Amino acid sequence: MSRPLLKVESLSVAFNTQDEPQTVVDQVSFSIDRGETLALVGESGSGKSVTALSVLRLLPYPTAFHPCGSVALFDGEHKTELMSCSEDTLRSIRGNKISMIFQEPITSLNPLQTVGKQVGEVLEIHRGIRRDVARLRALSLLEKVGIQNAAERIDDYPHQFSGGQRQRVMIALALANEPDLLIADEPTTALDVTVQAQILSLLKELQQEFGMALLLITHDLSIVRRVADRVCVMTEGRIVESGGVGAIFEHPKNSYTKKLLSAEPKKREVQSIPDGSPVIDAEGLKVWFPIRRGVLRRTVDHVKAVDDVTLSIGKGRTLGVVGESGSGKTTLGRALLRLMKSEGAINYKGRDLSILPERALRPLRRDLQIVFQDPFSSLNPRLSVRQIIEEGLKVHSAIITTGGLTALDRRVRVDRIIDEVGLSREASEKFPHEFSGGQRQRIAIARAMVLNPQFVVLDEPTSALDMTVQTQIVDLLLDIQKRHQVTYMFISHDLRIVRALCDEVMVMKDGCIVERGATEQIFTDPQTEYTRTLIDAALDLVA
Amino acid sequence: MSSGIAAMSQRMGDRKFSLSPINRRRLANFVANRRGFWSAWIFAALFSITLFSDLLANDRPLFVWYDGALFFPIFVSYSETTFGGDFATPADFHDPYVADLITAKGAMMWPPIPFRFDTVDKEAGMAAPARPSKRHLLGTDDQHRDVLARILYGFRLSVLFGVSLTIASCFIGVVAGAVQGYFGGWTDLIFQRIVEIWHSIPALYVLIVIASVIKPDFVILLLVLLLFSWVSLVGVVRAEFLRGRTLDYVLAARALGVGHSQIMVRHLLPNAMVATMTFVPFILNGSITTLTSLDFLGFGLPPDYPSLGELLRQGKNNLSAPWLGLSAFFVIGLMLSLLVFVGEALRDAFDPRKTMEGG
Repeated sequence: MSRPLLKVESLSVAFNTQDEPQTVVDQVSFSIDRGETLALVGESGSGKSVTALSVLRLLPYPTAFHPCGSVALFDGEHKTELMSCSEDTLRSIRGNKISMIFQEPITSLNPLQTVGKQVGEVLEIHRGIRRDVARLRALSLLEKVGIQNAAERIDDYPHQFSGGQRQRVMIALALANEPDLLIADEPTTALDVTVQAQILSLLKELQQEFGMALLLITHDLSIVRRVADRVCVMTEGRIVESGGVGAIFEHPKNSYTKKLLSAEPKKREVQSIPDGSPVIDAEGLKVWFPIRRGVLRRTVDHVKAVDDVTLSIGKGRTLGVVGESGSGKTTLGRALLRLMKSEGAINYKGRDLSILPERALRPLRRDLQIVFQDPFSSLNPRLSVRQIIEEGLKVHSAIITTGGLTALDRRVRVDRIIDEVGLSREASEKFPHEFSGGQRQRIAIARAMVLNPQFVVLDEPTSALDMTVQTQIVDLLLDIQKRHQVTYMFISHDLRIVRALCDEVMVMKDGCIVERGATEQIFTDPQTEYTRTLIDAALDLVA
Repeated sequence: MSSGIAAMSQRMGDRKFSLSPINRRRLANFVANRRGFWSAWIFAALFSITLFSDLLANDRPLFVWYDGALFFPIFVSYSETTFGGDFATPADFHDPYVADLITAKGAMMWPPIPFRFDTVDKEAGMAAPARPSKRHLLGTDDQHRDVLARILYGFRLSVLFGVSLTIASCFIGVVAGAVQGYFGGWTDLIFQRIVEIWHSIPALYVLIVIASVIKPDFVILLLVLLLFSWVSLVGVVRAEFLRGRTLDYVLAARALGVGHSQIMVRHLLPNAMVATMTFVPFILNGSITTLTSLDFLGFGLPPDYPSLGELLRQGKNNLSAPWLGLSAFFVIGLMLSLLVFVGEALRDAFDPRKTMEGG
């Protein structure tokens, strides 16, 4: 094939800001052949999504604009310049020749219409076929993307589907008109590992069947290695390296590519601390949410978010809690800290937390801390970093030293922890929005650690971060643990990090523990089918 | 030491400056709305002027130079005998007898309008209501009181009443909404039903009933109106708190052991304040309208208050004296329009879509 399907040449994208235009994509060039898979890889803010969106001119114009560049779509000998063509031409190409799927399937589907109607609508608009024919066609598409019992589910609404199924519906929507090019913007990031694997193989299969090209935008190198033919590595709006998958992974030339490739978490050295006396343990922990029906709102059943979980964690050790989304990991972590109502005993230092009233519990909160997944929502945007970190010290000042901490004491402690988490002291007077995701997570860690807690729940602390930053945060957490003998409960769906960080692992499914044991034992010799699929999916992506 | 202080103030300065990129954006949005921006200035100017009504329109001179000494009749009450009169009663400076006494031995400096809102001008020389003249720029009402003076005082009274009512109802509304939203569950359910029932009481009729039983004055009217007006903010604030209480940083504060009230004030209230701020000009507007309409109906402030509503009623009763109704109409119209324009500009300024996109 001599002509590529899509040719992007020195494309730039800039955004008008208050002060001066900011260039986010700078002179990017690449091309995709028919039937080929090209991956655009880069960390958040590298401009990969913006590049993909500008192919279909989907950016918020006129805030965004293109200083230069061309995007040419070839159809045989016919060439369409997407940068300058009319809005009408563009509309006939969108969803027809070029389709797109997004990261978050729930926000891309209309919650008020059935999936069958939504898929059928695309056909009606672009193909002009009759409603009943469109419905039949929609049904076969849904079957093709692997929706089970498609005939029964065609009249269901998006919220009745799981995340993976929704992404399948999105794919059906995108494929309805058999496009030449499918742009997939982080199509699996919001999904569980096992589902990720399924969606990726589905995309691969469909690509072959329809002979379409795939432009895959992702930050996940393991996906790239598995799916893509060629790779373009992007950073700071530029493509720094491109080439075949094998070449890039085996012999990266650019220093940034090398850094990206080496960012996978290192294995931790074996902990010397034996399984000492438990710091915290729980017995028969249950979090049930009632389902109420009828006029009298009688409780007919319960959603068992956490069901009869018993656990204990020794001092200075790390318990990993893994499972797919909805398995109750986060609920378990919050229930342990009594941020959520639960039943069953929670013992900390010989006291049962579950029966303490809120007021009596407050002094103990100093010892029990939590770090959340999203560092953007877990910091109050209106407080300075110092105020955020200082808050706990103010609350517990009377317990930390008799007579309370003076303003100077607090200052010293905040400065010390800011040093420890690797932020500069000037940072303390700034506000959260002035920091990157990784730095924000450091602030959140500082807030928890400034109180010298005994037990910290780490609720997916690295999931919202870029790969290279993830490694840094994991190192920081290990460092703090070594120095202060903190006990961790590490909640994550990322098995690679769990393997690197945890002493023991607990696998959860539907609120119950299906398997637990030492980390290596779980990974090398899983006992249950569920654990095996989980690990296979994760490691399969890696390999 | 001084360098330390300098560094400290430097830091404070920095912080103050970096504190509000979003607030700066909001301010810029507000200024960009020319109509609202100028309305705010005009309203502020008018209100500031009327705040000094006592110096602008008064039936006593600003100062009196008498017998080599200075007197300030506006601030101190002097008896006639001070100026060599016969009686120990307070001096009536409009009385030609007293005026002659003073000008004989000194001078008087009158305010631009030599009448208070309640001064009955006995020397108007025309039947009440008197048409506009040099002596009374906007004429007099049916009791020979200067309309311009009454408008000045009335504007001030309306705005002060509106502001007091707004502040009080915002305070109660925010507290009530915050408690409902933050605690949720049964607290919320029961409170909401009470609020709904309360809200469905026709306030105006209750006011009319109350006004017929007790004689309302400024404070009583304020309290009675407050009974019904605090409800308006509850919904918004409750929604903000309901949404906010599950935010990660609120959860983090709970995990730190921060108490409920502290969480509400420090972490949640700022979110609710945006919504509250947007509503304030409209609540203020509503408060003023309510007062005016009550006065118009005769159930509001007693007759010895300078009220715009009362002036409006006089205009209705004296159609042959159009200056009454027209003056009242234009003043009330101007005041409410200015406030609505300011409110719109504020609402736009706080609109998160506009502040985010910088559009």
